[in-house]
Amino acid sequence: MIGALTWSVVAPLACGALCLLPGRAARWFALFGALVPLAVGLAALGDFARHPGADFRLVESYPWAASVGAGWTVGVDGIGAAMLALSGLVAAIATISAWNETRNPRVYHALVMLLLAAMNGVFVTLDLLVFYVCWEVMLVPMLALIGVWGGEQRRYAALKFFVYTLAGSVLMLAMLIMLWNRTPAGGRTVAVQAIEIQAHSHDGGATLHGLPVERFSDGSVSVTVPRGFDLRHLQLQWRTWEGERVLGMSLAAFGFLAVLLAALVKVPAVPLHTWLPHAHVQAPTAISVLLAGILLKLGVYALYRLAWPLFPAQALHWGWLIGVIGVIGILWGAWVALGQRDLKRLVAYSSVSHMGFCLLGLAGLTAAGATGGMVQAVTHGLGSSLLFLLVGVIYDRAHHRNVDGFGGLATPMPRYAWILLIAALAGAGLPGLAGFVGEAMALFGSFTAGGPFPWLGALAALSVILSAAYMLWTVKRVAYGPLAHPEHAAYTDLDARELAATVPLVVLIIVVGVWPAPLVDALRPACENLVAHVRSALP
Amino acid sequence: MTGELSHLLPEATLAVGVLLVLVADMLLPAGRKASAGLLGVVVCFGALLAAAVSQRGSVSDMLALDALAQLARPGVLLATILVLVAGRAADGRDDGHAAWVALMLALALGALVTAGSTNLVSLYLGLEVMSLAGYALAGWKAGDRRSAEAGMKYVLFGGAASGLMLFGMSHIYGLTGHLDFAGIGAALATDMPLPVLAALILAGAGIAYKLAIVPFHFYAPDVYQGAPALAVAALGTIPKIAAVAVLVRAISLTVPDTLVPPTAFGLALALAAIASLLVSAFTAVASRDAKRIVAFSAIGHAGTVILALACMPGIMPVAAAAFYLAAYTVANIGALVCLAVFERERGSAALDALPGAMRQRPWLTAALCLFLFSLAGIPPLAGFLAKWGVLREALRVGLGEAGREHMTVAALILLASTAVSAWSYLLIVRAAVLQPAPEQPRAARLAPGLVAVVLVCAIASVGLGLWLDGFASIARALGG
Repeated sequence: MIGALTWSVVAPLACGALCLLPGRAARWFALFGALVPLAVGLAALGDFARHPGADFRLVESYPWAASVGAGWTVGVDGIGAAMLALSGLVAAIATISAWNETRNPRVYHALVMLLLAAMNGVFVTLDLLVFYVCWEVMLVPMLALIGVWGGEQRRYAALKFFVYTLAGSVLMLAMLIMLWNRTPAGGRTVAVQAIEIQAHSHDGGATLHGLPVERFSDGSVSVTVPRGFDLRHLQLQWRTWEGERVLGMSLAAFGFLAVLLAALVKVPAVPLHTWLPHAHVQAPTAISVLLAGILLKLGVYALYRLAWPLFPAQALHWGWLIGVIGVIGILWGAWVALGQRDLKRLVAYSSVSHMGFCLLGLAGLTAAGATGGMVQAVTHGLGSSLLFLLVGVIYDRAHHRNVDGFGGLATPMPRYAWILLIAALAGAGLPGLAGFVGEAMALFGSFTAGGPFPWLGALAALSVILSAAYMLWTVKRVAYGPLAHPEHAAYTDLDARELAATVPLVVLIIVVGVWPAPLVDALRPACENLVAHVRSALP
Repeated sequence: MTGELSHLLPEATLAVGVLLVLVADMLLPAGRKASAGLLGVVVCFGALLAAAVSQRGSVSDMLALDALAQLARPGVLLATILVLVAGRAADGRDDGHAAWVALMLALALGALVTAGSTNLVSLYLGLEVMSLAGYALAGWKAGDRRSAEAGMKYVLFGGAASGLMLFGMSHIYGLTGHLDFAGIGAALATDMPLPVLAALILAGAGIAYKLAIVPFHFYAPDVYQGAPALAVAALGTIPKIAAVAVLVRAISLTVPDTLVPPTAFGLALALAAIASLLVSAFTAVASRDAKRIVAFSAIGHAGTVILALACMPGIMPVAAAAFYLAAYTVANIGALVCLAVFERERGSAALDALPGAMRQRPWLTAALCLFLFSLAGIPPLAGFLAKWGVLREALRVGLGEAGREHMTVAALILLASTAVSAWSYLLIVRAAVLQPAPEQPRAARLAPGLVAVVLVCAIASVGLGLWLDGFASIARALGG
């Protein structure tokens, strides 16, 4: 019997196949397919919140190819659990928002399910090869979803998205193969610190990550890592990657840059962000929600799961650069958002800005900062999904997204105006709403970190002014003031379906904003462990 | 002698089959001529059976039935069966189908001879049989100017390549006094003077032509675009299987192990591979015809196989090349069979002619996309795993062996070209799936054979992609 995490991938796949059946049940299958990973993710997250711990839970392992050492190995720590829950939630919301899709709804929902399965695969797998496969599989449904169901320039946007992100990740494939190649066929014996065994061994030190521990008379401890793709095993060998050479740099440096490139394209970090406004503007509302709510988080997740654990010494060495890239994104995104007239572009650039906090938080290498970066990933998933839904709501009515073409919508649509105000305030980082928690923790981490980070944090803090400016200005122009166009008076307020999609997000934004402790508690041990691992690479 | 000849049972079956098909064509009544195709398939299955039971050995120092040949034989025959089952003659005419089938069988016969040859003479013989059949297949639509042009180009370039090859072979014979690979290898064991290297490379021209790698690729785009799609499916895959098989044997027998890696020969292979990848990637994106894009990208796929061979000596590079060829063959035949349908219904496979395909034939178009994604190397399809295998070999050699660091660069170029060529495949996907089109007439039902071929290729493209142990299994088959 397969376990919960495998179900979180299998259920969307199976529901995706069921979606193709004739009839009008596709959306129900899709909703169910999204609720399964949501339930699994929430259960795991709750477990981590009640019993904090850094180790992977719900681990399952099935062999796939013995000759290669790849397998279906899944497990989540707090980070993975949070991402899984987020992905299920956002997919469910996106399905509700596309409830009345009329163009080929069966294929549409099936593709969303395929996308969800691939994303969940990335979040739950502990196998680098499966990680890469799922990472790339996502491109295909996205290509179709943007290219078929998108706006005017959908074809160009879809192809650009596909090739841009594919090009970003090809080096990661080279990295993956190099790591495999440089492990001897018989495995490699690596020294392990006793403290590591104490922390991560669950059977009194007999095994570590499923590998038998050898103890020597001089007190040293080692394990023999087989050739394969298990991330926990690869991580044990990080010192070896530092010593290997490839193209005039160390293998670790090459691998780090490869993951960095793939991740920064996905995040997206300035200057690799140019695909995002296109993709967002052209994508249909529900796909924008998925894109902003989950896909962007994959880049951050790859840094947390691959770049930092596998190449800690490089992370120490290049941390400042990631911080700088993060801050550039924060300020640039906010500045450009200020000048946007298209509401979707505005939200897209605000995403660029907000995702910069994830990079800044992680780069500073403090437990608070790293946790804050991940919290920011989750809360941005909630907030930007909500904003894109709200843009979609008025686009459905007005058939344009020009910010100047609205005004005074609060009169005909009071509920809409309230929710828009909450979403904008969350985006602006108002304390008491979700957006504040991650940003504050990331900034706090930066101020306590050494080197250039206090300065970077100070610069990043400036964006709070900018984001308050563009968010509130937007709300004012759209919702308040006198009714700009008399025909808008006939607009109906949010209907039941739209409320079903937006209200859960509003509730979560407020709950996480007021009571972030469970989320933070669940994330913190894994982030602390990561920071400690990277710091152990200090010479 | 009879023992030796029994090794040739598959080849004999095909040779007899060619005659049988032609005779049957005379005997069959006018309305039933199409059953020649069925006969051809039966003959291929017979040959497959014969290949399965045949023993290893050699025939008069001309043909070797080694592990390599036993791997190549089913490959060639299965590909032939796929193309034969996929359709009647390319333009759907009833008459002349027997000739088409006979030519396909002759192509397979030439491929088997080529794949098994251990001697320059049998190699030349095999290549020429393939070429002659290929010339006719490329120019099959005699009334169509583009097809005629394709045939003519195939003849002219093929003639030049085979001239170069003969020239090189005569030099090899003159310099070493041997025609068989093993003898040539023994003569070269001590040293490889520059003239011999030049002669080897010239002799390789014929093989390079069949593979369509740079600089012998110029015919490919025009021939692919002009020739009927099913002929392209055959010409783009079957000769390549044979050429790679004989190339592997020639390299392992003639080029001494000690000379392969850092010397000019290994470097020449790597350079040809890199050039093919780059030319393929950057010319395909500029094409506006689906078959032309497939042709240009086929140059890159052949380059990838050559890149695997540049990692020799060893069994794993050969396994990687074999796996790549298998993945490429099923995806390529699948894609071209789909394009054959569109070509027939829409008059051409130009990108301008494809919009609306998704509406008219959703399943076939979805299958086409699957094949294109496999060719582009998107996981979890066969093309991805195949590329993975080649990369693994190139990076193993490039990072692990002194003097072969260029293989790392070659691997990175392969990756970069992957991203570029993905764009060109997406051009086809965009035209067929994303482009808006006016309401399409209802499509007629597809022939069951064609559906079966598309299905088999699709299942194989997915199945091979999950067969991670495939490399080890092929290596075992080759080593045992």
